[in-house]
Amino acid sequence: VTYVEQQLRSQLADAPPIDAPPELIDRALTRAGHIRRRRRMVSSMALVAVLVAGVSVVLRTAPRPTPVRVTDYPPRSPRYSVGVDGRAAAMGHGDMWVVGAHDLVSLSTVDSHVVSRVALRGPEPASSVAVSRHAVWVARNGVVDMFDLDGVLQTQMFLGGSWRIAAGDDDVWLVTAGQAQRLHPKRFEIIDRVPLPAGVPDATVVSPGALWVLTDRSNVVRIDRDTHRVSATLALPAEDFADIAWSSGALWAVSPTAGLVRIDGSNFTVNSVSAVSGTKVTTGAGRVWVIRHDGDGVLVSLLDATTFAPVTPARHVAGTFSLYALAAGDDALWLPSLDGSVVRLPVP
Amino acid sequence: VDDAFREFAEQRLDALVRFGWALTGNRDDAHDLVQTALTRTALAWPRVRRKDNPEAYVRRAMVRTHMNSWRRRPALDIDLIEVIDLDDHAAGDAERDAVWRALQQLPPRQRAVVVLRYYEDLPEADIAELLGCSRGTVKSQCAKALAKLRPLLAPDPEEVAL
Repeated sequence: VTYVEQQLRSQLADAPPIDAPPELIDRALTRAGHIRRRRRMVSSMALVAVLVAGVSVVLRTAPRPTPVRVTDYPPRSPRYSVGVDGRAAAMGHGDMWVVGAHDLVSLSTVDSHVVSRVALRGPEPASSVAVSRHAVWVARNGVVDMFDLDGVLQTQMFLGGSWRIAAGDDDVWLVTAGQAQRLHPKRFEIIDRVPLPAGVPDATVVSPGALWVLTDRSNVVRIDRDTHRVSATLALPAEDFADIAWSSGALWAVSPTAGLVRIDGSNFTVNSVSAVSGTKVTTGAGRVWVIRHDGDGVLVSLLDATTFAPVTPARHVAGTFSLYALAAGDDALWLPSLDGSVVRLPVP
Repeated sequence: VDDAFREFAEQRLDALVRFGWALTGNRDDAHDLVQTALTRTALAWPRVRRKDNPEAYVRRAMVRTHMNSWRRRPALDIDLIEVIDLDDHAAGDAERDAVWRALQQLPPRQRAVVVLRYYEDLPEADIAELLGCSRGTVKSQCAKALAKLRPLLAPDPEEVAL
């Protein structure tokens, strides 16, 4: 044992007393309590975080319910570019014919490719198109063009005035204010002229045995296709009807305000059957299509021609459309737009 | 739990403060050290109590806290370290004063070894366990501490052997 060790043992053992305040214990316990509470709080927060993370993981990985689809109406709306500002359209011979201001284009309804394209001669813009058994007819301001089914111009007739055109298999009708003219389906000759009651024709359509003309947006004139005489004049329940179409033994007229009206083809009774309003109506496969302006596009409604009930909910189609260009086939509605494309809405 | 802990702390508080004083050489630091060690003991009291030697746990906490806090302190000029105020208790005791002053100049680890060895009179094995090191480390640290204390405590250049 060295001197230093001896000094350490003796002097340290003889250390003077030092105060030991009891509040040291209280302060230690208080501080321990704070630490315990803080630990519990952190544990609780960690538990909550774990639970939240677990729930979010479960929600992310849980199978989501498949959205209920009313129908496939339509699953997609294919658009086909045709390069024509579609102002009028008609179906015929397996093709959909679209006429723009200065062009006529046919689009295959089978594979949606452009079959033919032809530029109209002259500056007059087209306003109406119809397809007969042997030809395609385009009415323009003062001019009527006849094309063969390959899109080749056959004849051009200068008639003056504004004309509406409608075609059956073997008869073609041009309608203007005060008269209707029946044309020869091949030779492009005027066969007969039928006087009409006064009024501006707004639309015309051919049905079995009759030509129907909407005049002054409030009357329908029926012309017998055999006798070439006016067989009936019917008053519609409003003065803003925009279009007419034929289907299932009845004439359908649509108004932007009065909705859809059905005119029985046998007894000429007029019945309002639906509140679906529009500016254009067309028919196909026992169904009635109606379109009207809706925001940045059009609203397309589809009704059953027998029950008058909507087949599907109305469908909004965005785009710039002429409110008078519409063509319905057996399996789809074709909607030409003014920006050079055609939208195909399949029948559900 | 708090009652049992309080009973233990009240019984051993004086000894713990003296031990803290020996470690720190400063009454306030000794109080802080004891309070910190008691806080840790209170938090671990159920586990500490089961081991039947809570005081060893407190002392271990004091030693380790002292060494860790010393590491965290900025380096101080040795002249600025507060020395134990012995005037109130042992006025005129020059030898004891010299021992405590000399202890202040040791690094914390060597000082802890000296305090445990010569103040607590613990064997090297217990000191090694308290400090969390080997017995060899305890022996080397103790030898280094004595070497530093020798010129400070020896009355003349020649050490007196007994």
